[in-house]
Amino acid sequence: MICYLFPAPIYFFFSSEVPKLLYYSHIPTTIIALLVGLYLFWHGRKFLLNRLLLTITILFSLWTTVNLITWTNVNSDVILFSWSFIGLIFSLISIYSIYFTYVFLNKKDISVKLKTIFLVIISPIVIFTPTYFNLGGLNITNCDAFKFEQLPFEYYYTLLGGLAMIWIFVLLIRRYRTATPDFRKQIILMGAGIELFLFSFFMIVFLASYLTKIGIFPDSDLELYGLFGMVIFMIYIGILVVRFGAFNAKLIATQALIVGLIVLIGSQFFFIQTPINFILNGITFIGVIVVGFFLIKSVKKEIQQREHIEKLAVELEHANEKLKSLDKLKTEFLSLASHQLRSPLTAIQGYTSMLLEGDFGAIGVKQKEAIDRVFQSSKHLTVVVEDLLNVAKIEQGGMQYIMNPFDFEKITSDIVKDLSVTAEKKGLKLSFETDKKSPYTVKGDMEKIRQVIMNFIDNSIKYTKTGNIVVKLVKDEKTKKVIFSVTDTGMGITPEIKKTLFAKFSRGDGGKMDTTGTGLGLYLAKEIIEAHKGKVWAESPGADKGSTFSIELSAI
Amino acid sequence: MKTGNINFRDHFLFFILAPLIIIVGVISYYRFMINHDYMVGYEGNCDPVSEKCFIGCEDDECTEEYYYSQIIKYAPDLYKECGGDITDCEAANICLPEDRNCSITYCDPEIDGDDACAISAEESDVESNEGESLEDNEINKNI
Repeated sequence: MICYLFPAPIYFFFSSEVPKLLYYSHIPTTIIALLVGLYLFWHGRKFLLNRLLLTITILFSLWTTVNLITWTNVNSDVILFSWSFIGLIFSLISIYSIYFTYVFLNKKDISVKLKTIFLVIISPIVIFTPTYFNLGGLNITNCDAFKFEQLPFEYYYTLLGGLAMIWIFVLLIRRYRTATPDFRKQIILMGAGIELFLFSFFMIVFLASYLTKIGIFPDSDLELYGLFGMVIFMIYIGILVVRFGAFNAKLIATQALIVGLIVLIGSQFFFIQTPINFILNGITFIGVIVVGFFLIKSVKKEIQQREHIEKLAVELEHANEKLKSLDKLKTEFLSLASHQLRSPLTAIQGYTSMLLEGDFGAIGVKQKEAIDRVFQSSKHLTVVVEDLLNVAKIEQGGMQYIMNPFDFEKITSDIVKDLSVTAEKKGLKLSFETDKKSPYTVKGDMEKIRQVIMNFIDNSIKYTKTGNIVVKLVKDEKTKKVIFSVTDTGMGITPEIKKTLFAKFSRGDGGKMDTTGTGLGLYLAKEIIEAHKGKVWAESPGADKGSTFSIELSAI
Repeated sequence: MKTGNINFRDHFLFFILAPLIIIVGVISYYRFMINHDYMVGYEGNCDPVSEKCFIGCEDDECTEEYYYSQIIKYAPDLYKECGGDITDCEAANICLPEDRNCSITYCDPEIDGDDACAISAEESDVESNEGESLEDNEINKNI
């Protein structure tokens, strides 16, 4: 039967006799809902939550489709066939909304018992959908079936919508109480979205239908506004995905915004009346698609780069931790090994010394020479072991300093005297200069400072072939600083070597001249002087041009 | 929460509902699209001289009025009598003896209000060929 007062629709869905808002409320909302549902399903098809959301969006799309058919078609068979499913789809949306909320909140499927309850609740609707208890006929003058809808059936599925809203509200409140702060935000977003959707969808559509039926409204145009609740719900779902990575999907805000913009601009085509507006909107529509494509591509690239850097930073952090752990192990090993070496070395040194001094009887010249070599080597080894032990102590934070005032000039003078013999043996002139204006008293660990000074002068002797070595001590009365320096005419320091001169195991070019060094002397000197809040540095005009090593300490 | 293997217990809501909905769809299709098993309501002709007719407006400003009665007929009967379109179908404006469910309702000032009804010479009421009213009222009264 044909609704004789209305023209037949074009392409089944398009009629000039319907309110323009009909297409705006139905088509963009359906596209948005399906896009979100399919996108999330595509990114997590194995997840029940994503499947349920897709089910809800498909049911919603089915509802908008059958509703659109009832609005635009004039064939009574088609209208009634479509209209008969309205209640069933309503009910399914209610049930699946509760199901969806359960899974969202508890991250697990519902029990078989609850599924059975859902089935029992919905069964009257399923049974009576194709019968007269649902829909009896159609008024072909108005082309509507409002007066042929059976109220008990309509009340039942509308109450089901109300029940779903209350049920979901109770679930949200219960879970909210025990949720973490982060999940609470998600509950608020999802809860507000689904409740707004259900309220606008069920209540506004029901009110429009009911008020039209009893004659208060001339038509049911009001129901068109009820569909916008779905858009709000989808926006909230989008926020959940962008901000919280919900639904196990990745979505960037730019993607969501561009798609939303395209759908909105596309929706304008339903309102456009003039060809010029159609062309302008078309240009805007294409422009947004093109610009949006490149924008999304660019943002995606930036995100990928950021994620790559974040991944590298994490890997670097792990590697750093591993290195620290290895370094600690190495220090522990050094400490242990050095302790184990020191005891036998002391014994070797003691006995060789006694042999050389004739405590065990007279020995021949050749034997004495050999024993002296053993004695000198063990002495050198003792120095190396001491250095290693000191490094281990510094790195473990276990180096102890006995701070007392002492005369810096005296210990320097003593060391210079001690090493003068060694210098003379190499044909070098070792001299000590001081202005002697005031006492050079400093507070510190005298033995360790002595070790540093000894190391500096000894190095100068080692790495100087010819010329002289000048040890100088000055005091700056203004800054109250004592500055010690040792200047030689030796091999000098290149700028490259200078950078790593005070690093651990750094030997520079000195390794070529003297192979017995460990590369720890300057490192230890720096650590010791810095522990005294002093400064240590080296200067040189370049290779083979000599060098000056200096120390600055506070005077008292 | 992942769902790897599909089993009936986990998805029994879907496995029960899906076939049921398909069955409902098939029954509805058969009922509406093939059997046309539903009632059709429309505005029939009405003579305000002999009946209390409803008053309708041709436009929003109601510059021109027309009179009508409310007719409800069983769709298969109407298809048989008029085909798919009742325009210019005289049988659509009357209840025939072979009509299984047919009723013609005239305006009732007590129910519809005085303004909704056109003044007529005779009393009028709902005429029907169903049940008791079939016997009590004149059948297939011409409008």
